[in-house]
Amino acid sequence: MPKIKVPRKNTHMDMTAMCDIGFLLLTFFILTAKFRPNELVEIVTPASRATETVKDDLVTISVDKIGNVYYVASSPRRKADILEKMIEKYGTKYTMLGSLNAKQKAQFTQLEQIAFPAQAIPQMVGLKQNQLKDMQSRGQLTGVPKDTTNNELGDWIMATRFAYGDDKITFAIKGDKTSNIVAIKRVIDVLREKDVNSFKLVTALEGNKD
Amino acid sequence: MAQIDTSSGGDKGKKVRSKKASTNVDMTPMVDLAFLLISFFMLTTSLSKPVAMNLSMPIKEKNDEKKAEIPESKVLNIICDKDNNIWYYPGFVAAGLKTTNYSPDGIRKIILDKQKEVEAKWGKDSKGFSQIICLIKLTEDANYNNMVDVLDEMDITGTKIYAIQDVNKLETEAIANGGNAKVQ
Repeated sequence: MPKIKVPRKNTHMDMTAMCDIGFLLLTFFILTAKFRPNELVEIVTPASRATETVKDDLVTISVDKIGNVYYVASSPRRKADILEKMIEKYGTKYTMLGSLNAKQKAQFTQLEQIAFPAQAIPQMVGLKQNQLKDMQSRGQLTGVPKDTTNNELGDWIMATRFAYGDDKITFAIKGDKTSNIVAIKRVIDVLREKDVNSFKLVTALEGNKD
Repeated sequence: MAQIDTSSGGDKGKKVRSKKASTNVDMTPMVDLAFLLISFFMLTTSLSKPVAMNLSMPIKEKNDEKKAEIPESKVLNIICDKDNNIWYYPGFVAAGLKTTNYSPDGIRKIILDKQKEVEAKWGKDSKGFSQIICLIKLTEDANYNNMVDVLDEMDITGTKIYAIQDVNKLETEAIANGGNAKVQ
């Protein structure tokens, strides 16, 4: 009796389809992933149990380690509106600010953060993010003034509220772990003065530490 | 795939044909790479995702007329001080302050104990939460991390009524005095 021959099957599998799927997913993840914005100061947020993810349209007030305040408005269109409101208020006081040209206004909308007094806007709008970072590292950026005598932070908040009109607006405070509480409290107080009584605290997702 | 073309060969003397090279390429390493990158991106993106916690402050009253009366026995004061130190005392009178820390056996246990005490006296509210009232106070030496930690504890212990207040004079004195009210 002849031996029964088991036909040898090819063990190779066609990987093309799998490869397609792999790269499709890869492309998807790369395109949807958002890079961390190039921030002027590194802020290490404290961890919390909160799980609500941060939306894009937040107006963030960042407080760094030494208590300087940075104002981050969301979209360029909003920023343009906010700037108009600020010019309305300070345009006559600081003539340089009042006479901003269209190009400078467009540059303002590209700013990541407002890290200087309103008076300095005309000189600062032309600077690149890297130049601003340099200034920050040399301690030349003082943030938005927030004292009771020169409460520009409050003005930015009001300008933002006017610019948003009836649209819903969410303020968030992003503090560094080691930020002194006095600065944070002052920011909360300013928000409350402007009738913003509900806001968010930006934190990092807590690891399994306990 | 890199199979060997065995169809031709054998019959000599016929036309010389150029060998047909297989057009299949081994995709396995490419797939490996693709999935490696996917796993890398998925793992790294989820790590730096910021989250937000809500904080609502009461509306600022111009006058103090509308202050709600609260029973003293429901109140627990938590004062965050420097070096991650917490002072706490029940009621309204700043006396006999004790210290604790942010560990689960520290402030969390104290809040839960106080909740039991309040529950024994007042029961639970209509939604089944403890009626404890926590007054969170932050001295000038506290940092932002302390504030977030305490607010986190409120969430963990299910404390629904809490407020962030300023440290009053009596408390400052008591802390300077090591926890006890100043002896007159």
